[in-house]
Formats: sequence, C-alpha cells, structure tokens
Amino acid sequence: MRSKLHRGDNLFSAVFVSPAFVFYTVFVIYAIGLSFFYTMTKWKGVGTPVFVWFRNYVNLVKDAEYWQVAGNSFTLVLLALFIQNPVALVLAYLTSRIKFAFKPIRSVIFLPCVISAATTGLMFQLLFNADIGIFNGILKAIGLGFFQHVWLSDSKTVLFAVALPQVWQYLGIQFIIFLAAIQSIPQEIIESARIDGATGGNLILRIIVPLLWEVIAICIILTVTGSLKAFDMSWIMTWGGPGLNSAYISVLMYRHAFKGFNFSYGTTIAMTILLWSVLFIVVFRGIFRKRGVAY
Amino acid sequence: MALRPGFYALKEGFFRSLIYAFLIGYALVSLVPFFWALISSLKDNDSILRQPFSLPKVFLWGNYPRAWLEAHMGLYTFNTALYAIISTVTILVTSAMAAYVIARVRKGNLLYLYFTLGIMIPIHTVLLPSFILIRNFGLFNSRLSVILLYIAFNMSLSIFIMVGFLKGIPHELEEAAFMDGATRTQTFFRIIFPISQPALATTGVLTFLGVWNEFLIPLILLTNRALKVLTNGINDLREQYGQNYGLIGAGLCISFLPMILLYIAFQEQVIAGMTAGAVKG
Repeated sequence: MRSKLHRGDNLFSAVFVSPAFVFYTVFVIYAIGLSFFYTMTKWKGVGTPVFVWFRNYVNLVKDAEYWQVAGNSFTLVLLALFIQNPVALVLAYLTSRIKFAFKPIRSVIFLPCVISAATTGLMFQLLFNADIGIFNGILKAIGLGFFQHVWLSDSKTVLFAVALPQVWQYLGIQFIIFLAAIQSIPQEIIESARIDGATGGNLILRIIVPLLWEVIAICIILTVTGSLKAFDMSWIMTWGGPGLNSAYISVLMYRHAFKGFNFSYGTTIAMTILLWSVLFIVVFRGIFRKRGVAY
Repeated sequence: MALRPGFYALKEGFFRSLIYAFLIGYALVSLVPFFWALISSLKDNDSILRQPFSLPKVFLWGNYPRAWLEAHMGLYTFNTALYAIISTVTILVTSAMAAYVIARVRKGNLLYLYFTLGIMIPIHTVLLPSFILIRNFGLFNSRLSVILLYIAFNMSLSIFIMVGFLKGIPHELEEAAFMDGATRTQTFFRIIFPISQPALATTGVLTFLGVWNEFLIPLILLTNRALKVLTNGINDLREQYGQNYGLIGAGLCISFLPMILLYIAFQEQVIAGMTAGAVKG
C-alpha cells in the first residue's frame, strides 16, 4: 500500500533523473560501447567501418611506436610515484608541524594545481628555452655552463623536461590530501613517538606511512591513473617530439586518430589507457591487501 | 630520551627554522614560473633576450593589448568563461536532481552504481566515439559540442559528491514540507537545493576549474577561431608567436590570472573540490 506521500514518485523520479541520464548515457556509456566496437574495425573516421576482430590489438602489440610511448608514460608514472608522492608527503608532514604562516604556505604549494596544464606547459617550455630559459641561466650562473642544453630538442633530456612540470604541478593535490590526513592523526600519537626518540625520516616511515596507508594507497592509484592520461604538456611543449621521444600514449592516440587518419587504431590506443589503469589497480590492490594499521 | 628542557627548546627552535626555510624555499621556487611570466610580459623582446631574468626597467604594457586583441586572448577568455559557466550550472542542477532521486526517492543502488561507473573511465577512452557522435549530430565546431561533453564527462563525479551529501540531510525537513502540502518538485527546489549549498560549491568549483583548464576536448572539437578557448589560445601562441616572448608572457598571464584570483577568493572550496575530484579515475 503506497502512501499519499509517495504517489507520483515514479513519474517524479523519471523526470528528475532523465537529464543527467541522457547526457551520461549517450556520451559515456554508449560511447564506451562504441569505443569497443571501433577497436574491432578498420576505419578512417569516415566511410564504412570494416570489421577486423582483434587485428588492431595484434598490430598494437607488435607496434614499436606504441611501446616507445607506453615506455614514456610508464617513466612519467615512475617519476610521479617516486618523486611526487614522497616529496608531497614530506612537505605535508613539515607543514603540519608549523603554526605561523600555515595557511599562506599551504596555499602557495597548492597553487599550481589550479592553473591549466597547457599554461604550465608553455611556461616551462620557455623556462627550458636554450637562450632565455632559467635552467640554462642557473647553470651558467653557478659555473656549470657546459651542462647547458637545448633541453627540448635533445632526445636524452626531453622526456624529463616534459615530465618535470607535470610532477611539479600536481604535487599540490597529493600534498593537500596528505596534509588533511596527517592532521586527522591524533596529536598524542605523533608526540609520544617523538618523545620516544623518533625523528624526521624515521617518524615518517615508521609512524606516518603505516597510519596513512589507506590514503597513500589511494594517492598512488590516482598518481598512476592520472599520469597515464597525461597529454597537455607533451603536446604544448614538444608535440611529443623530437620523433616520439616525449610522446605519451594519449599523444600517439591523437596523432593516429586526427593526424594519421587511422581512427580505429587511435581508439585502440585509447583503450589501452583504460586497460593499463585497471591492470595496475587490480595488481596493486592484490599485493597490498592488508597493510593498514588502525589507531 | 630525557633532555633538559632548555636544550629541547633550543633543538626545537633550530628544527623549526629549518622547516620554515625549507617550506618557504619550496613555496618561492613554486612561484618563479608565474613571476617570470609576469616580468616578461612587461618587457620587450630585446630586453628579454639580453637580460631574461632582470626586472623590467620601465613597465611596457603594450604586450597586453596585443595578446588580448591580436592573439585573441580576450575572445578566448570570454568563450572559456561562457562554456564554463553554462556547463557548471547545468551540471549542478541536473546532477543534484538525479542525486536527490538516488539518495531520497528510490533508494536502490542500481542507478547509483550506473552513474558512478563513469568515475573509473578515463575520458580518452570515450573521447573519440564522442567526437563521432558530436559530428553525426551536426555539432562539430559549435559551442554546444564542448558544453555537452563537459556536462557528460563530469556527471559521475558530481552525482557521487551530491549523493554523499544528500544522504546526510535529515528527513524531518522534507516531511515538514510534505505536511504543508508541498510536492516533491517544490520540496526539491525550495528546500533541498538551497540547503545543498556546501556540496554545490564543492562540485561547482571542481567542474568550473576542470572545464576552464581542459585542453584536449576543445582541441579536437573546435577549429573555428571564434569559438576557441584559452587553452587553444595557449597552443596557438606557441605555434604563431614562437619567438615573441613578451607577447607570450602576456598571454600566459591572461590565462592564469583569472584562476589565481578565483583561487584566492574561494580557497576553501577550491581545495575541498580538488580533493574530492582527486577520486576521479
């Protein structure tokens, strides 16, 4: 027996859900179905798709260019994991220990996150500029002029030059998440550890990391999935070049789909971003099932 | 480890200064790129090439009108703001409506699961088919094209945040409204929507920032100059004014200053929104 209150709920629900439902269903759910379909075809984006089953995936596995850009993306992932996350954690811990000027320091460290990656990319492109860039300027000023480089044209340095702004810009997000988490640890725990003689790195490794493991695990997953999607800086700074030396997976996707008229292959490359992300999450969660500590 | 209080205080003070030195040093280095863009924007190319790191001797404002008009950064700012405002408002209303149904009316998990599935999906995977759909609808190179995709791609996360918030609102509020004879629709727009302000602020800031900073979607969908956004403009600056560093500096400042001002004004919401947005896969 439905009460008077709930009369008309079905109609109401349908009307209220439908705008969100239509946008989302067409451009996300239906689109991902289409995406799977395109990866099974040979198609230039115009004309009729020819069904080829898994040939795109087979070609992809044998494609040296794909593995080169996948290697670049994985390099970015590793740099983010082993530089961005630890530095963010240390900065968050130190910031949690100060009172005076806490807010301004927090604000400035987070600031780069609100700028577009395109803007950051162009700023760093100029910072890496051989003639007017600050990196060469510093090297010259401290007497290491012979280390000066045309950073973005040298195939040995270009990937790191393109990855650096990414690591720098999004460090703030992890910083802010870690900071909130550290502040939620009861102060007595940290104080008693300090009184017992734990300091600096020891305190972070022995006390903070185990206590925050769940948060750190989430940040690690975010770092990996976020880095796998990187596109903007690579395109703005170098178009992925020279060659494909600074191109990420998404850059190769863009090149194939919109410059090389191989739309279905581009879609296949895009699909691997999802596959790598899911693979990482499954493996990571499998390895670190129960490592957290309750307090 | 027992230490005499005096020694402990001294040691504490020393470490505290070290911490400050390190944090302030890092913060200052973080500001260098912005500062450098700012000083470059006030110099001409000659002085940039001769002394790239010096402060401008006289402030030359000429780069700004050139970037604003000649490089179309003014037009792009207008377009970016327009798309960001329209998509943010639409997202807020539609996601709050759907979230209300999910959290309060039909408490099944199926719809919730369906909508939040999208959090896991990287946009690149749906971007190419969405481009085809947009083209088939005859919307390629239109304002509506980017707005539609911004709305669709931000839906999952907005609903996720809104449902979380709406579940916490006490039932008494709605029941009181029903007693007074209000319909569901009236209850939603007069009571639920207004009191959801904190969640709306978080979602709104997050969507607005994301849309403002988006690069790949407009790169693919907009080729007509009159419709392009700031991130397209940044791309064009590099392609068309590669050696004109003063102009590029001004263009960079035009692109980041609105976001920095917004950040200064809504700092808590920005931080809350970006942290919530971090769960996006």
